[in-house]
Amino acid sequence: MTALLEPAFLRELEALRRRLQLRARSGGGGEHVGKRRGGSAEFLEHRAYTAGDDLRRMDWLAFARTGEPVLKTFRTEEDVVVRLVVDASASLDAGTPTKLDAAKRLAAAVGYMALAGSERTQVLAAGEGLTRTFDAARGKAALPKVLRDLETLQPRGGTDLARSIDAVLQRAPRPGMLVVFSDFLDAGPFDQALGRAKAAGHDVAIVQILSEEELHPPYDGDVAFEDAETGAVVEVTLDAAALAAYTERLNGLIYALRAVAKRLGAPYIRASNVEPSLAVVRRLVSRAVD
Amino acid sequence: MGALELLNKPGLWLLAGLGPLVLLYILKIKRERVRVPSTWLWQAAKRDLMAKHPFKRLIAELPLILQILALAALAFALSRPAMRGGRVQGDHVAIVVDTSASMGTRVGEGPGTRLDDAKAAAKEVVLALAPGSDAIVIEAARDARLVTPLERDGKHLRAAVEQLAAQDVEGDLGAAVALAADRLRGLGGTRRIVVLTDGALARSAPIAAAGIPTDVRTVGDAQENAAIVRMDVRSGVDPTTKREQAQVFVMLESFGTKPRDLFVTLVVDGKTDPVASRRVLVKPGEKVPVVLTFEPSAMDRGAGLLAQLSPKDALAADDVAYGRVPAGQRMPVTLASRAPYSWMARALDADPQVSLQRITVDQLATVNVDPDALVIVEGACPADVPGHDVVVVSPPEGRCLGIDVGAVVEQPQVTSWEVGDPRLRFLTMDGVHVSRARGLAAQGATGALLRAGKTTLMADASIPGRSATILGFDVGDSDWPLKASFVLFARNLVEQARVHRAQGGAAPVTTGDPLRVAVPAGVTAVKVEGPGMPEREIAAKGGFAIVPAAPRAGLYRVRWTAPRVGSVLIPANLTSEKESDVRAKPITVDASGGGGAAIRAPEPHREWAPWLALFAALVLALDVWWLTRRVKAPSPVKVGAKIGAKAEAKA
Repeated sequence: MTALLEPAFLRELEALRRRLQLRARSGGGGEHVGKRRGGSAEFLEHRAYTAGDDLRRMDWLAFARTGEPVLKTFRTEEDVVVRLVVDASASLDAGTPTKLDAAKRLAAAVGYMALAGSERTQVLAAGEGLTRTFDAARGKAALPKVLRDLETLQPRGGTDLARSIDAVLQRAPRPGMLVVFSDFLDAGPFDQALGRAKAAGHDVAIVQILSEEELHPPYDGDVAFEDAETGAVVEVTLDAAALAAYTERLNGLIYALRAVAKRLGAPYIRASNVEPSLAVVRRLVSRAVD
Repeated sequence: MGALELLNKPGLWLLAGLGPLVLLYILKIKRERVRVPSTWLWQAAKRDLMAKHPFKRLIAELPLILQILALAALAFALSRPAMRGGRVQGDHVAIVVDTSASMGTRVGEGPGTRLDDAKAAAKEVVLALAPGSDAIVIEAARDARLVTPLERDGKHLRAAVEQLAAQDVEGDLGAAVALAADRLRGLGGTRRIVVLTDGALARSAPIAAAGIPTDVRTVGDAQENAAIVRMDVRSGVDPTTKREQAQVFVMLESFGTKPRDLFVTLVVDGKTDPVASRRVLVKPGEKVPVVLTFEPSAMDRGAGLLAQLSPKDALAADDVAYGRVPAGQRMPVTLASRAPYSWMARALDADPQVSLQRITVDQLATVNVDPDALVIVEGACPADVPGHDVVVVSPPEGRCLGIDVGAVVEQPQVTSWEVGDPRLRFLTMDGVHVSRARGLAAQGATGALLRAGKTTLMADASIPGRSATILGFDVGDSDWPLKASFVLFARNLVEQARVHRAQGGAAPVTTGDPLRVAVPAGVTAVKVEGPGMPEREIAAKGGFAIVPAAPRAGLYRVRWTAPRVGSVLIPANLTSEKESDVRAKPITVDASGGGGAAIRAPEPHREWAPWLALFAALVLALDVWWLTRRVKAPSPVKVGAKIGAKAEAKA
């Protein structure tokens, strides 16, 4: 296929895709049974007739037995829109391969599994807001488009995940699965935005991608760190105490994301840029909280 | 063990390096620039993040602590801390500290004196006392003084030692040791006397310790010293200009080993400009007399006069001597007479060095009379006569100045007179005929100055501090004014008064001697102040006040307010050749009573500097190891557990 999805990786994804749980329903006709009343063959419940109801839904046998007009209702069959929100800010342009490459590869994997299940898949690029929005596509035939969409993403600009997620919610009238691929090195209130997404009916998944340099800083001595997004400079003397303080802050972020995931009932996967994508997808499919 | 001493205190200046060291830790340094995805976490890492301030918060880091330790150890090593060892044997110990003038001699080039060394040694002795033993501290100045009685408390003993100060007096070490021996004699157990002196003793007699073991410890080092060993001030007349001048005689002596080029400068007390100065080259061991003259102003008369030696040397106390600017040659004389014409006034008028004030007898109580004046009263004998010396001529019958004045004697024949008395010096009374006189009841064998058989015609009525003369006849009732002896008599009275005025109530004294001050009759209390002596009130009686010994060289002012206001300035000088000779002299201890004696310098120090330097080296090595070790980052999960637990709890 492309550099994002090798044949061997695709074969593994094919085996994993049936285990992918899509808890959200987007309301369109699809293969997933919805929670709402609809036109599928699956009986949901009886309810009293009210003026204006479709007489074709009347349970005449029940009416004959009870003398009361009752209607039979059925579950809907809905599809799911899987929205792949990929952080394409400048901070993702770090590591070898870059964190953005790793994010694209994971997003392609999730996109493939969704398309293979006849779901709709949409790629959205996050930055200081929603920087790019691609059309949603459905079916395996749309896979090349999704991959092309992903490959067009380039790292640039700052990060405002909360604003990006809110923008997705505004543009998505139907809820779906919302998978956020980012390093989450953002001081903004993205946890509140994720909460609003959950409240709107989205099935949220959090995939955090960090570089090895961020997980295990290889620096030593007196260093002036320059922020790739803002250009801000922070001077640090890297000794044991400094490294301990950094690690403490990094783990604070990790634990905070874990807490958000648990609160939202969302999977939280933390991946390194060099970690094999298959292992990450396996944890995501099993809705793990790292 | 003795107290810790710093043999090289300037070494502590190295501690000033602590400032720059700490500065290095808070100064920002040049850093390698690294581009990272985000600095958000680093910013929150609370380390070295103060980008806009020149300094960062000082954190007690191990390398900083190690470097401060090493620097402090090096500084103390350079200051050469040391202790003297040894324990003083004895249940009862007398510590005798020499506080004579020579103990004020500087040691080396620093500000410390021999007494400072002696005090340090005395404190070491206190620290080295055996447990349970006690000690007394005795000060050996002009007189021996017990500073503290037997005391076990080392703190009190050290405080007693600390309050000792060198006095500008000749010391009497023998008396102090004798006092120590006397104090220890009745005590049981072992006894010991420890003497701390510089060896420059004014008295060379052996020190007798009455059989008590005596340990003499010498302090100080060899120093060059030159001194003023004598100073006299008098009034005189310049033979060339015939103008009145003050003549100052100063004797210099060198006690060093090198020739000294010195300046002797005269300064009136309270003024800064010198009135006379002379450059003198003094060879080792040489005595050089120096005469300085100047013409004092009227305001200067009676003021203090300082003879200063410069440049200063090891002993400052003998580099200055004090005197008094003499009063002028013109002698104030007040003549109180009832008669308009006076033979005495005529004789005094002939003397150009006399300033005669003529008043009536009744005016004596109201007119302002010079306190140094010679007062002559004719035809009366008032109870209170102002001025200094007094002469009463032809008093009425009754009691006068403590002498009984008898009835009139007709045609007394002069038979003898006191030729040795200054008032009758160089004159003869042969051929003097007196027509009538009153007999005087002279006191003592020398009280009668002029006799006519058994009748006294002239008597000495002097009291301590005041010369008084009573002449029992009116000179107009004799042919004495027609003879030269009368003029000589008048001159002798003036000259004696002039001598008394020059002494100003008290002659210059040597430090350590009590001041004997002559005050006017009727003065019952005087106030005294001087160098190192706050103003204090002293009782006066019989025309004298005895002020306790002056411990410091300088100018002492004695003043009184009743019955008339007056004061006198008394110079006190060390002027002791023996005390100024600060070279160590052999000390001999009379060991005839047994007990033994040892004369030694203080025990050598045991220095800590090498150990401190070794400690500093070890600390520096540890610091180097710490700074060069490989830093291992801590486990992320373990470190973040605390924050995570909080976040989870919040969730």
